[in-house]
Amino acid sequence: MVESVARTRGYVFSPERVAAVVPEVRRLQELVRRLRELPIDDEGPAVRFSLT
Amino acid sequence: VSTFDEPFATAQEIATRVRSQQSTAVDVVEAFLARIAKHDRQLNSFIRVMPDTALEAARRVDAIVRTRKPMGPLTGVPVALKDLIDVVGVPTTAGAHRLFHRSPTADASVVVRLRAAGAVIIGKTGLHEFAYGVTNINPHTGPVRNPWDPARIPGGSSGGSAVAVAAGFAPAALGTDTGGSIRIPAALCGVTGFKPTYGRVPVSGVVPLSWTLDHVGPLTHTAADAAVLFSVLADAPEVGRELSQGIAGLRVGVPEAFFWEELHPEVEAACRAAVQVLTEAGAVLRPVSIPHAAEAGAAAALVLAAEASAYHERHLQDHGDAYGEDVRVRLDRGLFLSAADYLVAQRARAFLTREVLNALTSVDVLLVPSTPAPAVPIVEGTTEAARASLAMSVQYTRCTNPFNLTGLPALSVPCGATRDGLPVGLQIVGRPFEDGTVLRVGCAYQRLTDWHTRRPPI
Repeated sequence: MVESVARTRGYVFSPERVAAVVPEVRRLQELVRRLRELPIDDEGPAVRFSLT
Repeated sequence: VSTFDEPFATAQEIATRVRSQQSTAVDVVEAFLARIAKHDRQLNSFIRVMPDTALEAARRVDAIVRTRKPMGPLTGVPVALKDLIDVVGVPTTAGAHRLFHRSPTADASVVVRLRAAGAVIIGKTGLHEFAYGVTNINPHTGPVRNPWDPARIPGGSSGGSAVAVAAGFAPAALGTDTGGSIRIPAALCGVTGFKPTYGRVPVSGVVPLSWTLDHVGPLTHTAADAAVLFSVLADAPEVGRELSQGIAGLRVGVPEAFFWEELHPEVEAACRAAVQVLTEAGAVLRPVSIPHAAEAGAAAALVLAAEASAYHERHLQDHGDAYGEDVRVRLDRGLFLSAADYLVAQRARAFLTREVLNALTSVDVLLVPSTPAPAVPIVEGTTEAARASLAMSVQYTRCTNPFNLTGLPALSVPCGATRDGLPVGLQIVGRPFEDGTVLRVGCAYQRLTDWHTRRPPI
């Protein structure tokens, strides 16, 4: 998956670089999966400072 | 006029002495330069010391003092800068390979404000490469070492600034904080570090790491000094008025879940003792809960990964081999996040920010440890150091990066030491734009304790 995404986006990754980055890509995807489980369906991305 | 020989004098004490002509700014700067020359070879806290320009600036300060014109709150105070903050005419290295150094044609906004307040820029301090890591093990400049035990990391990424203050090389330094990079080294080196509310201190002329998480702030011996630096950096002179109000009746919250879990036992003991000091002095402990606090680190890590990779994308493609291994892996991984992934993180950020602000409706400040553990030994070897760096970023930012995500003001104050003598920090977190309240609690705590007056054995 990593090699194919890299190619699609025009990045050149050697096999060594792919091996180094794959565990971290997996870790970030797990973080995304966890955040998708939060109740954020109606949430926009804007951050406002408000106490109300 | 006496010769200055007080390396651990506070910024306020130095400014008072110079303004009243008990010491000259030149004496002060010469004393700190001599101490750096004598001791920094073993700690490596400075990338560049600037003796000529510092002494020239000090002479200008002394000339103005002699005219008896009103002077700023940092008159004659030497200040060290993390080396991703621009100073005109001095290369900004960002702790990176020389291919990435830049040659500023203007001072960063914060440097302009420091100079206008009478400060003297004494040098540029070491950091984790591009500020993207917490160990300050740097393949380009060598590791910055903790003055409490030079075999250990100082924390980072503003490790050089924390060490410079802790070792008595400067009474104040500036750092940047994207996931904890001021507060973590402040805690591990036994100094005071303040991350202001997001946006209060300008970041122009500072090499970015993550535009929506980056903050600039001071590292000092005391919270009172941090308040003076903050008032200058944020152009907020009113902050000082709040500091003497005390904490009687102040409502403090200890969010037990997540922040107070999985702590080194001596860190937990020191931080709980600090909470007790504040409550015995009149602060009122109120129950408080942040139900999804454990997910804040995930959102912060994703926002940081995407924004940092976006900033570095072109350099990564052209000069990928010029990055250290841990930073290159961090930057490479961000290229594989989609826009949808980034927006999930930003939507989670809005949700989590509201949750933290809700907690702050029933209390005035939150109290949490700055780091879950004290400083660990420096790991040697490229592969081992990279692996340790990646793991330690997750561990050491867990109590700090929620407040980058939410933009809240957060102060780390020394609150104890382990049996091995390693410093521990307590974090005081307030509502947005209530920086003065956070600093007030820090000042009150330091009037009641003396952890901030301990000095490392160098």
